[in-house]
Amino acid sequence: MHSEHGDRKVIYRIDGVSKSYLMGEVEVAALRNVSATIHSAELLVILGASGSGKSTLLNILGGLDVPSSGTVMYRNWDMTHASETELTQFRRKSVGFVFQFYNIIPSLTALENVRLVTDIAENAMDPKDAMALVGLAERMHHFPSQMSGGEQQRVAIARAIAKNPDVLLCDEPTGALDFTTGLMVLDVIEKVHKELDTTVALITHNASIADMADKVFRMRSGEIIEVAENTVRKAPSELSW
Amino acid sequence: MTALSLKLFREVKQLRGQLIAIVIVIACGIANFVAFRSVDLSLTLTRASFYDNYQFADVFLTARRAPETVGQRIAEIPGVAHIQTRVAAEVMLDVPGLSDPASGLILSVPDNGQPLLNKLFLRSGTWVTPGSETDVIVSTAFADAHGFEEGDQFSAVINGRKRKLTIVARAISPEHIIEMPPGTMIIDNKRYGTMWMARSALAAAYDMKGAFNSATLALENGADESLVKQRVDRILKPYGSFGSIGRDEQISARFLSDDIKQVQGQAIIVPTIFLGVAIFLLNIALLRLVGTQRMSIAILKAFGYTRFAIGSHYIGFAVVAVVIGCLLGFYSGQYLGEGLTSLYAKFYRFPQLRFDVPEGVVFGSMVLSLGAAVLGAWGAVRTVLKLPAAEAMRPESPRSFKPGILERIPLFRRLDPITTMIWRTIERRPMRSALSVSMIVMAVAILVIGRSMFDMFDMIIDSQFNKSFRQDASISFTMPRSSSSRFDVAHMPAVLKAEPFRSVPVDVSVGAKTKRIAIQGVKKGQVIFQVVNMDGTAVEIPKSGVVFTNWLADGLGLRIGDTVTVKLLEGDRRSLRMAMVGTADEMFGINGYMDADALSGLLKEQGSVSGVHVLLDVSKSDEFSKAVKQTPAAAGVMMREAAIRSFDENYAENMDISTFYIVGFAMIIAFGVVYNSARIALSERATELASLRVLGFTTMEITVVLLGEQMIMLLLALPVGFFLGLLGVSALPAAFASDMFRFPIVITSKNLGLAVLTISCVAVITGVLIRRRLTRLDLIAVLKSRE
Repeated sequence: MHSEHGDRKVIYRIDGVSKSYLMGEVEVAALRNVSATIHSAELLVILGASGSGKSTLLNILGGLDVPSSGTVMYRNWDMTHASETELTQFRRKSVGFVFQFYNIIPSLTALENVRLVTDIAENAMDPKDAMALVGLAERMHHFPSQMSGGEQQRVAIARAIAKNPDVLLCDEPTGALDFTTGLMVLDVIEKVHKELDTTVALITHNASIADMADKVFRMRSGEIIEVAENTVRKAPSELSW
Repeated sequence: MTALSLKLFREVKQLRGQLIAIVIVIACGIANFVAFRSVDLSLTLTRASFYDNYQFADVFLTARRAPETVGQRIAEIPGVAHIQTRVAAEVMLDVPGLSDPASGLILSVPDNGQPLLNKLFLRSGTWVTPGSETDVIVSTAFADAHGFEEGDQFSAVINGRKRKLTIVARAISPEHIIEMPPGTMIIDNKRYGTMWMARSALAAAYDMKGAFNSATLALENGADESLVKQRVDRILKPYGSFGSIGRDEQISARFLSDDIKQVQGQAIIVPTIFLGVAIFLLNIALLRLVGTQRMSIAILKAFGYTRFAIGSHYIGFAVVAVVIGCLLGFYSGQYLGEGLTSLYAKFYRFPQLRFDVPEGVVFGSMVLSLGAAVLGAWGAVRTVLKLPAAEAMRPESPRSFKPGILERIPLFRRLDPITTMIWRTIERRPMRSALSVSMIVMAVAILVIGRSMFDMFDMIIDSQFNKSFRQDASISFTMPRSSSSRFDVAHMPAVLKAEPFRSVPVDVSVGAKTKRIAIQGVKKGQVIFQVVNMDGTAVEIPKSGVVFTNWLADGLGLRIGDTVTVKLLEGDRRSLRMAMVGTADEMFGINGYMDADALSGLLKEQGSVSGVHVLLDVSKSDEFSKAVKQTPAAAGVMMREAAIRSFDENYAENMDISTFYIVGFAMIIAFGVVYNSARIALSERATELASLRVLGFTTMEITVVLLGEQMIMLLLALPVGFFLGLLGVSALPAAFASDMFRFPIVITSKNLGLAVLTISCVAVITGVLIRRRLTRLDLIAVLKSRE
């Protein structure tokens, strides 16, 4: 696997992927013939309005969904024809997810939420280190209901990266947060990306966030309409919206 | 249809799994209410009209032999309305086609028609021919058990003479709705029957011309029964009175009223349990529904729907479940009731016993179910009505958790996150968890208590009949006979060994309390008969003094070493003082035992015998039965094999049916609770479970996370249920103990195993149903929504 990006390997090869859903009795095309490549250790931002198909693409990359047609290769593995069990194992070993609504378990403390993942992963980091990485070492014994939204999202990030995933997939991670908290969360994501060399795909409808990316996919109506590469990346602290 | 009703209609469809579980629980409650309440009413009414129309007597008396003039004196006692004197005799029967010996009670009836009291309802046939020595009217139960019709014949040993009797009618008497041989608790219509013959013929046979040995009285309204009984006993004393009894002590009447009381109890307890469970299930289901529909509620409020309209809408869910459950329960209740009625009709041969559901019961079941709906729904609906619209618009605030109580124990701090999650979820709603657990506990206890009855019957057969009763048969004579009669018995076919015994009827008194029992002599070193405790250990009979069944000793308030007054009811009928020197923990009857020589000394006689215990060559026991039936001196015979057979025939089938019901009911309760709480947990925790799936947990793993809560509750409930069941089981013997019979406490591993098996079935069924839902969990949709 060689690529146009010097020595960086292609981690995802997306080829002619379409996805349509049956909404009641109407067929809705969420992705139309999308092709693209994503490289390892890249910070990718997928930008688009609501309904542009960005979440569908992210879900397919994370093994939460399968395309209606086309193929997605993760390294040398054809995800499109994988079984439910294989996809589960893939999520277990290789992917970290961060969602808009955190989705952390309310009955577990921050640290226990992270342990939930490290208990089943193969080469996980110490859950406390993951908490320290997101700056929550002090609050790791708190329950979600005792934490702010930003803190909860950082717990979600710690939980996602604690297993040392190859890929970190973030679906509108700042969508439910105010500006300052949002920046803090982006800061953590970038820190993880840099320190652990994790490939990050982050979807957002906020164009300003695109400035922190290596590469940007701009999507509209189920298609990637533009692929842009930033020669200069901004630090999250330099962003504003 | 209004938009709101459409919403209700569609959402009921979505919630159908839970609603079906609730409907079944309600249906069980209502079915039991309808069935038992209707059976109760129909039994009570039928009994009342039968007693009324056929002049069931109020007082029953027996004596050795009293002249008719004494009857006239009794009739003059203030409060006595009527007296009917008669001749009564316990007889041995030889019934064609039945190898076991049978026995029966023959009562006299006036030659020319119905007695004044305890009139007979003739199911078929005609009255006895006046003076006939062969005409006999038999009880319907006895006739049916043998397929007898008018004209059929059987033999009876009447006062030592074997006579062939011809059936002229089949009848039912209010006095013998239940027919049981004296001293037993076993209804066996094949081997025991009641029959009626012409007074003149029976009186001639028993030397009772112008005399009687039994009588029944009807009292005037408002008469003081105990006063009348005292006077009757005083008048009859010189004539060998055995004491008079009222309806409350009359075997058939008592048995029937105990049974009706039991049915009444069932009509209250069983529906209460089921409806209680239903109320709880409705409550938690609706609380959850209302929780997920906060937005809709806010919108409805914003549109201007009144609280009443919204409240009724949610109560509507409960009403739907309850109406369906009520209808289902009503119809299956009729079915169940008909089944019960035909079962009762088999035992109680009323002229007619019809099952119908009175209007009151229909109304009652409606009120009960609607009450359950409102009670179940109210708590949930109230919380929603109190919410201001704007607050309802916001999503429910995040569930807050605390470290659980258990986590203060160091061992539990080391639990893995999954177990911690499960445990904290249980601890977070202690009330709901406790209620769920207690309902499962109840199901387990019902299983354990219900089944223990059958274990007890098994144990009786095994321990009493196989271990304690060493004799294969015991023959008792009509009168004490000389000791040589043991040789007559020893020469009967199939007899391997014969051992005579002497037994004498006595009245034992302590203060004002008196009990009539028989004291049996026990010879040191005798091999066949031994006095044995319930646990199988032998009881030593000392050289002097008397040993009583401990139930009798307790009843009289006696301790070992206490002295009692014993009045002999044979020979010189004198009273003497004796020391109680020991007790025997026996299952059947109340008995006294003495050293055989001491008893002979007391009776001032040498070696007369009341009967003989025998060991048989079991392969030839039929020949023995045949010979016994030809023995005029035999008043009765107890054969072990026949007793076991009768026990088996009469209880085995009922046991199977009852086990089926008990297991079914317990499963429905446990399933209703477990399935509903699993569904609610699924709804509450869908996001959480989807998150876990996204994190790479397998369906199996999240099934464990979800059902772990239910499993822990089941595991908690099992030992507590066992414990409660055991408490119940140990309370049963005390509740049911009588002079006739005492229960042993029996708990077997089979019983506990059945409970575990039943609960496991519930767990597996729930697991399968819930797992199906978890496989279909839409990860993306769940993660996108905020709750």
